[in-house]
Amino acid sequence: MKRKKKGQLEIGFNWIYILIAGAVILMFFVGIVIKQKVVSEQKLSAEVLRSIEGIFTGAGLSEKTTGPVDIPELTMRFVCDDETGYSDYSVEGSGVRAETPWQPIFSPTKIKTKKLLTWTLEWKFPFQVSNYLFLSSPEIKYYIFSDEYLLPNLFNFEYNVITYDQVKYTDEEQIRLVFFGDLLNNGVLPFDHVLRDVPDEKVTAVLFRGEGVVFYEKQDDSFVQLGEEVPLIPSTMDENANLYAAIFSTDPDAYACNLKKGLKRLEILSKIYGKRIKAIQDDYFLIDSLSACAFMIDEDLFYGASLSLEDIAQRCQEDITNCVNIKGTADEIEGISSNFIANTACPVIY
Amino acid sequence: MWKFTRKGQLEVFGLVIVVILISLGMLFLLKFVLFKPVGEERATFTRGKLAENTLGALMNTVTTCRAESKVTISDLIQYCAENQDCDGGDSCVFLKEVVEEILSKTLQVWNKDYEFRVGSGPDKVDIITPVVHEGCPLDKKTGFRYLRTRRRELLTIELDVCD
Amino acid sequence: MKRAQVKMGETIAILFIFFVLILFGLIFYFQFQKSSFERQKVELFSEQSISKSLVASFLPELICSRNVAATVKNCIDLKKLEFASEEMKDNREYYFDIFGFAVITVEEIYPGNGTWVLYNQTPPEITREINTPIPVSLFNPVENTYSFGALNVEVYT
Repeated sequence: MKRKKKGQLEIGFNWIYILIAGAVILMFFVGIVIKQKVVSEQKLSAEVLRSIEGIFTGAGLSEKTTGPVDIPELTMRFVCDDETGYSDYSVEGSGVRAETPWQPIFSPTKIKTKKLLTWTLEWKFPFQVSNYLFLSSPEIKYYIFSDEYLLPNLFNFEYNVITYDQVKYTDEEQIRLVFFGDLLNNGVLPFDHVLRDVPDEKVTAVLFRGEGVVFYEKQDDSFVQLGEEVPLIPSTMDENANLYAAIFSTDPDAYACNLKKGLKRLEILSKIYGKRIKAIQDDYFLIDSLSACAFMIDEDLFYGASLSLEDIAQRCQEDITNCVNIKGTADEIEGISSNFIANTACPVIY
Repeated sequence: MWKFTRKGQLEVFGLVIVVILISLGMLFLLKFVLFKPVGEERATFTRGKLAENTLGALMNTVTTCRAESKVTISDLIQYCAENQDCDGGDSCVFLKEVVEEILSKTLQVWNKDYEFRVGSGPDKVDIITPVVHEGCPLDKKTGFRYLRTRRRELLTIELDVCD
Repeated sequence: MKRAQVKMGETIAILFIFFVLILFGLIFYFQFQKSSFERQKVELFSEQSISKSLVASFLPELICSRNVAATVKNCIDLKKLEFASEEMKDNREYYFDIFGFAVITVEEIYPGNGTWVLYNQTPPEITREINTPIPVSLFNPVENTYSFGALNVEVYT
């Protein structure tokens, strides 16, 4: 009898040991699998960022190019802090990021998509300063309340919008309204407009008012101003890259922060062009003091204008609100240049 | 007793074979993983661009063919095809010397092999002896340029670059 | 009793072999990850060197002015070059963000033989370096002539 009971007990304990050992081994392997999953996701994010970095570099060097970029479906975050000047982009939740300290990239703060849309446009002021890179996705819809400012066909937009009735919502990731002059209906959405029921973070707006840009976010049934008005830095080209930059940026701080990257380049280039023209005229004077090219422009006037441009660019970087009356100086330089372009034997100013 | 001993030995022997086979398999895999060549994309990129960029820069370069005028290599090639001279000197000889000098100070120093040819007409008959450093019989990238002489003859300028 | 001991020994041997196999598997896996990681580092560095060379060759601080009559690719304006190297020294931190550890020089090959050092930041210890030379046309705006040059971009890590 005792032997029988001992056997019964042993069998019971055996099963308990088997269960515990089995559970431990199973947990060990499950732990490895979970860890690997996390590592693989990070690896994927790093791979995506690596290939995007190459695409961004290439896109940033070519002018006026547009193109879609296929990526795995994920959410990208774009950060540019106006106070510190730090900027990067990352895959949300992965912890993997790539810094963009010098390249101006204008985009919504968050883009969730399988296809990034890119557009490069140069900012000329009056010489080529920088190539801006604009990013969006087919899931972001733009409603432009004007017939003058069109985006490339690649983007999902409607222009010449006149009333809120023309603004629809068909489950897009984001809706962006672009106003000129004034907010329609003071920024209040009509009663029972479809956008009232759309989550606030999905709807943003921007208003171009004279020489300034104002950013808005939706709060329930109306648009509320986000941050301070930012000066709209002009361009000497018909297409003002800074205007389009404000259409693509949803955050005023990020917009100002990226503008400052262009302004830094402007500061350096103004110095180089000013010194260059002086040196060229000095060389012509040494070769032939009577040469027309030795007197092609009033070098002091040009040099003075380029110094002013440099000074304004510096002050704008310290505080973007200092960027008023910047166009006058750029126009002066452009005027000096166009006045002597008729004499094709002399080198161009820029 | 005998049967049990033999059976146990056989089992252990089997296990040992499995371990050896798996170890060998892993060693082979390691070898292929560790010795995979790296950086080939850069070699192809730079070779392709190098041929194109070198030829582009070469064609615009001004030479000392004539003291009183600015003669670029592009002009010099046309002079050579049209039997014009360089201040009394043979323009084709001068062209070859200049191209040899430039390519030896650049592509050769960068450990590249190359072949520079100028051909005339649809059959690309050489108007100068090709400028060659080892040549590129196999994998190469080629830059092309085309010019026309005053007699409307087509000149084909080619530069092959390889590692 | 002896039979039980033999059986026990057998079980222990099997378990031992099993764990040895797991160990082999783990060693192999980690070695694979390590070599894969090293390869990725080299590939990344290679890509970065191409990127930086492209950026250097398209710098607005150096490139020739665009003239409708004559668009020359890979062209550097000699007058800009003189002053660009000064500006790049004065704005070292800004250009470090663009180029990192690198040395960028422009050499005139023919007909002259000048050299300009545009940017020079070498790390305290050099693990790897890649030099990407780019043939360029050097434009003299006073004489309106082009000479043959090379833009050398040496990237370090």
